Amino acid sequence: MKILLIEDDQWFSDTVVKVLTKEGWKTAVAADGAEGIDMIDDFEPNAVLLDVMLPSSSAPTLLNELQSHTDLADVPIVLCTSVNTEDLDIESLRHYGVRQVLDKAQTSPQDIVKALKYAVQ
Amino acid sequence: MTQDNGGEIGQLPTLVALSHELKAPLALMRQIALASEYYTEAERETAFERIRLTAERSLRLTEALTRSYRADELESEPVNLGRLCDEIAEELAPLCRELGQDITVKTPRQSVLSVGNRDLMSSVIFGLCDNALNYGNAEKPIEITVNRSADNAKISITDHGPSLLKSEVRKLRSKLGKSPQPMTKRPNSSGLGLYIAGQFAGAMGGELGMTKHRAGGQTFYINLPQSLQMSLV
Repeated sequence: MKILLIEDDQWFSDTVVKVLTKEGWKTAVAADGAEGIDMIDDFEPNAVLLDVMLPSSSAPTLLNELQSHTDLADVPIVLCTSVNTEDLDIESLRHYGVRQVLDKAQTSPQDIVKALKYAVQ
Repeated sequence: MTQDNGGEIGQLPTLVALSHELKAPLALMRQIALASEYYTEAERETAFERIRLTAERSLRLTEALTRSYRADELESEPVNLGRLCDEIAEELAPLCRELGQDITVKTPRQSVLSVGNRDLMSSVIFGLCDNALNYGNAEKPIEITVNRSADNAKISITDHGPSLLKSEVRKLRSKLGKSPQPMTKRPNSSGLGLYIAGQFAGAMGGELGMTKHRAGGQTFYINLPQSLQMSLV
C-alpha cells in the first residue's frame, strides 16, 4: 500500500513514516499542499494522510483541488490534526473524500494505521 | 473588556491561542513517545532528544507567558546584547542541529548595551528565533544581528522561509504586540510568540517591528533604548 503524508512538521512526519514503513507500506512526504498535489500524480497513493494546518494552501484548498481532478477525486483521505476537531465540519469534509478525522493529541500510531486501512477498504 | 472579531479580549491573548500553542507540542511529544516501539536503539535516542527539545520550547513559552503578566515589575540592568545573542544561539544549537538549520550571530566590534530586564530580553529573542526556526529555510541560516542607531539598539532575526502575504504584513504591523495574529503562511502559529515579544519590548521602552523580504522570508526586530553611557564604560 502507498500512503502520501502531507505534513509540515518534520518530526511528526518522521514518526509516522517509521510506523507506516514497519507496516510494510510505501510512504512519501510532502511538506505543503502544493508539493502534495505535485506528488500525487507520480506517487499514485492508495490514501493520503493530511494535516489541516499547512503552509501555502490549507487542507480545504487542497481538498477542493483534489476534487477538481477526476482521477484524484477518489483517493481516500484521513485528516490528522492538532486543531480542535470539534471545530471541523466533518460531515461536509466527507464530500471531499475525507474518511476519518484524527486528533494528534488523542490518537496512537496504531490508530493511524487502522484509520488508513479503513480508508482504503 | 470587549471581544472583537479577531478573538481578542482586551489586551490578553485568547485562551484559544494559548491552548493551540501548547497543544501542538504536547501532541507531538506524545506521538513521538507512543511510536517508541517502532524505533531502533539509535532512533530512540533521537526521539528522546526531540521530546526534550520540544519540551524546552514549550517551557520557554510558558515562562514567557508567566513573565508577561508581571513584565512591568521586573528589575532592569545593563545588558550586553551581543553577548546575550551569542548565549541564546549557543543554547539553541542542539535544536538547530536536530531541525537541520543553522543560526548565525553578527555583532559590531564595540559592545551594544541596553538597560532592561535580561529575562524579558531573552524571552523576546528566544521567541523570535523559535518563530524563525519553525518557518526558516534549511538552506539558508537564520541570522541574528545586533546593531545600533543614534539612540537605539536593534536586534534583528531574519529567516528565509515563506514570505507572509502583503495583507498579513499590514495587519501584523498594526497589531504587533497588541493581539495574537495567526498567519496563513505560518499556519501552526497563532502569533502568540510575537504578541508576547511585542508586550515585552513595550515594557522595556522599546518596540517590535518587521520587514518582509522580496526574495522570501522576514526580519522581525526589536528596538530597545541604547545605554550610551554604559557602552562607553
